Amino acid sequence: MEKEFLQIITENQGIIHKVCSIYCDLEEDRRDLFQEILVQLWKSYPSFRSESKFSTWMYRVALNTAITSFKKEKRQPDKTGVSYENLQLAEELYDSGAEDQIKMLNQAVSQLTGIEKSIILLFLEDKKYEEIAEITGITQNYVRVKMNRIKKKLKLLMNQEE
Amino acid sequence: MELKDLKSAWAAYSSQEVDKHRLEKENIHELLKTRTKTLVDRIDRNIRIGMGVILIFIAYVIIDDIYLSKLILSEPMHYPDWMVPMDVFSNVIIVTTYLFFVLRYWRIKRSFSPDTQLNDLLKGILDTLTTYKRLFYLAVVILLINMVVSFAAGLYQGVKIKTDSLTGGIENLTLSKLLIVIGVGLAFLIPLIAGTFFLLRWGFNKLYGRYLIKLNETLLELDESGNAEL
Repeated sequence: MEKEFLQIITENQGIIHKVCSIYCDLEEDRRDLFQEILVQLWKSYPSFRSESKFSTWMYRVALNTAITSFKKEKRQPDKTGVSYENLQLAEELYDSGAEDQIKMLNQAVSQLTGIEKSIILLFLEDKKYEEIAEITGITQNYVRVKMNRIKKKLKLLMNQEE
Repeated sequence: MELKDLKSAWAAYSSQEVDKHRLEKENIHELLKTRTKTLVDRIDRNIRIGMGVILIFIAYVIIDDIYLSKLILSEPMHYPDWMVPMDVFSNVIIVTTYLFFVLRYWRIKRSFSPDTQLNDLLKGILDTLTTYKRLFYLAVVILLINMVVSFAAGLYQGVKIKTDSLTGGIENLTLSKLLIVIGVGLAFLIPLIAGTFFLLRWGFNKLYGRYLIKLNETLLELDESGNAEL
């Protein structure tokens, strides 16, 4: 079972990295959370039944772990904005427009609650409301309500940055 | 800027992030082997250690009551009649509460899994933490009851020895002197009990108070979903 688990996690590790990236700012926290999620996935793997998609199950365990681990809040946006590591990466990879967008997104997301972060992550990952509801365990209606609130909150926060 | 614009920015950014941090199968295996305990794992371990310690303590208190004190003391101690039912009652309460907590803990453990819905997971963690908190208070209460009973027994014995030699027995003690003895006893006992209780409670809140608040806040936020449906 361990071999099978390692294979499937290696193939789908992007989900864990994305969750860590939304919830953690520092590399150290990120590594800790990655390991925590990995352990929780391993613990609950025997109970995984193919009733839902593997990615849905993986997102649920990863987000549950991230939300309940309450890692140190992302650094509050200071005058320089996004974390040094992310900024450096952004500088390497994107033009200034994309860099600004990432910078603003990071700053705005850092001010969301754990549940809001999970919803915005799934939204950014292009998940439908139905799947977001299945992963987070809240109703589709409430996902819509919550998403509208998050959009407003993000717009406000990002306008403040602009 | 529109949120939809962010989707493409996020897609590019996150895929670079994933590539940057990608691990090989061996690295993931290594991480699994060197896993550390999460806060909930540590609380779980502490609960089991706590239950073991309390069980040993309860066994010690009962063995001490029934057997040890008789073995150690050359002369049997004379307790007032009201102290015997108080001692028995406190032991019964302690044992019953302890059994209740053990059952409650196993019931929570059975329904607890990281892949359940967030709402159930939060309630499960909260239940575990609440059980831990109550177990902790049980330990504190056992300690305090034991302190009160031992203090009362010691005070009674001390007064009895003194009055036997001075006034011919505790029965001859005047009401005012008796009240002074009780007053002095309480003046020592109350600050001692209150101090112990508040110190231990402060320690617990220092360790887990913030986590409890965060859990409750998150659960409250999730519970809003019920209201939003109405």
